[in-house]
Amino acid sequence: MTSPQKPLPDVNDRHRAPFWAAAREHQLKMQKCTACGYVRWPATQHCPECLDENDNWVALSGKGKVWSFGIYNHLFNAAFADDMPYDVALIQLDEGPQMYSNVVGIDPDLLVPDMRVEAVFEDVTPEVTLVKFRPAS
Amino acid sequence: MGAAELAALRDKFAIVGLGTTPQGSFPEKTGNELAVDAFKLALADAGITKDEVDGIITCPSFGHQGLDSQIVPLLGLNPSYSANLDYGTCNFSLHLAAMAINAGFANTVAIMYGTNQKSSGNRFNQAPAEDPAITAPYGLFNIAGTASMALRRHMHEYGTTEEQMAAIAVTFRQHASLNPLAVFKKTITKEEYLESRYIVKPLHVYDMCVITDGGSCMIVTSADRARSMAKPPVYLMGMAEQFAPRETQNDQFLMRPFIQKVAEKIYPAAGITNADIDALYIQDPTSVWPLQMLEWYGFCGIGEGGSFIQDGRIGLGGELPLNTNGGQLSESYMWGWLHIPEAVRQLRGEAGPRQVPNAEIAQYCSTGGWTRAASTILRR
Ligand SMILES: [Zn+2]
Repeated sequence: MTSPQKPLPDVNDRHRAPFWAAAREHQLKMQKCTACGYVRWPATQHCPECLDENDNWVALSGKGKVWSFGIYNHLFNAAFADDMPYDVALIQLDEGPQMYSNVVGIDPDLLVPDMRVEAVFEDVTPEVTLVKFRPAS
Repeated sequence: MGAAELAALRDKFAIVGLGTTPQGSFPEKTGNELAVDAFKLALADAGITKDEVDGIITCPSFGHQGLDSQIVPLLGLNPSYSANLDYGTCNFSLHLAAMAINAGFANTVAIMYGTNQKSSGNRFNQAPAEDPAITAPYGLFNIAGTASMALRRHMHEYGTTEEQMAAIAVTFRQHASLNPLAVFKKTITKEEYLESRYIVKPLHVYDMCVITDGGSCMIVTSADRARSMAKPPVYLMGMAEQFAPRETQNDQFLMRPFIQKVAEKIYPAAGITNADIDALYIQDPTSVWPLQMLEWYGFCGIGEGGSFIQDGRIGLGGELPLNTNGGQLSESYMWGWLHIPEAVRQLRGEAGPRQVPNAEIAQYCSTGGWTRAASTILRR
């Protein structure tokens, strides 16, 4: 019996492909507007600050803090059965953007908001690498 | 939008008809048919025939139902004005009805919502609406996920505790025990709340509403027309909204500080302060919504919600009765479409054992997703 597969991101998404390509190389990159310097995630065609369409995908430090998190005690998706209970956190990156992710390498009950974290990269399939976080060393 | 323009709409429109079907599980009907049932009940309540309704606003519901193009043919009407509005909670639809009447598109508008999502098997196990493509891979499912983060942050910043949060679920259940429409009527204790399982910690099972089937309809008309109908009119004293998707790039966005913008507009629009509210209604798919909105609407200070809800203050007989119907947590989910019917019943004096004595002014506060908010103040 095979266990159900976890949802995967579309690594060929029109705007987000560079994010997933960078993750594949174990880098955290996000879009930076060349006109105003605003760093954004999720990726979009136009900068939400100034509406300019020009951007560069820049490498971020991968450092940030846990803004908050929840610990899943109810199984909503069978593919996550082996992870229970697991955390999902909203990570506040030092460069500005926030992203939802998991904090790994720690008992979820030991997490606290504002805890410093750093990016780690989890190769989940030959094509897909997820950006996760662990307590900062 | 200036306060003066909103204030000019004060008391110009009234709710004259209410229809709420039984709530629960009705596998024999579609959501659209439940909306029609609610419409029939609302017509009877208003004492009018369907032909006196010339505007229809429907609300899309689970399973690609709820479009006006589907429901209006079932009503057998050719309305002057018809629309469907996708973000529910009744407040937004109510405001659109007032706008349609104000602009002359219709005289009398029925707003309605019907759903059979319980019996048709919606498990709410999909990722939240906000971008599942980049959140589901991390296991972020259900509104409980983001709501738990908002609550955890509130606990971290302000010292709010689970013991304090128990007051919301326990109080609403007490109210539901007095409400014939409520799905959950068995009262719970603070201890039962604290010992209950977590859904997404720190949210307990009693902090989350359970989906249901049912229908709700309200009939809205001009104040002049309202005075000739069967029931005493309940006037729309104030209305305000705010959309704030830019907030998703604000690091505090799950706290929803933008809701304060609605508070800044609605009390001047109604010409009152929040001290004048006799009964308060807050959309409550999770108990985090009341915690946040009590603060943003200024009923207590920012961060003080946890202590404010103690000692019976939000219960019947308390200083600020909140969700006297039991709310979504205990009455019925219905995407927030039952709070205003309860407020109207209170203002008419029809609320029976849960009547707030001499209630004159009520308020309903709701949101659409994490970035949209609306509120209505009603008076008898
Ligand atoms: Zn820009």
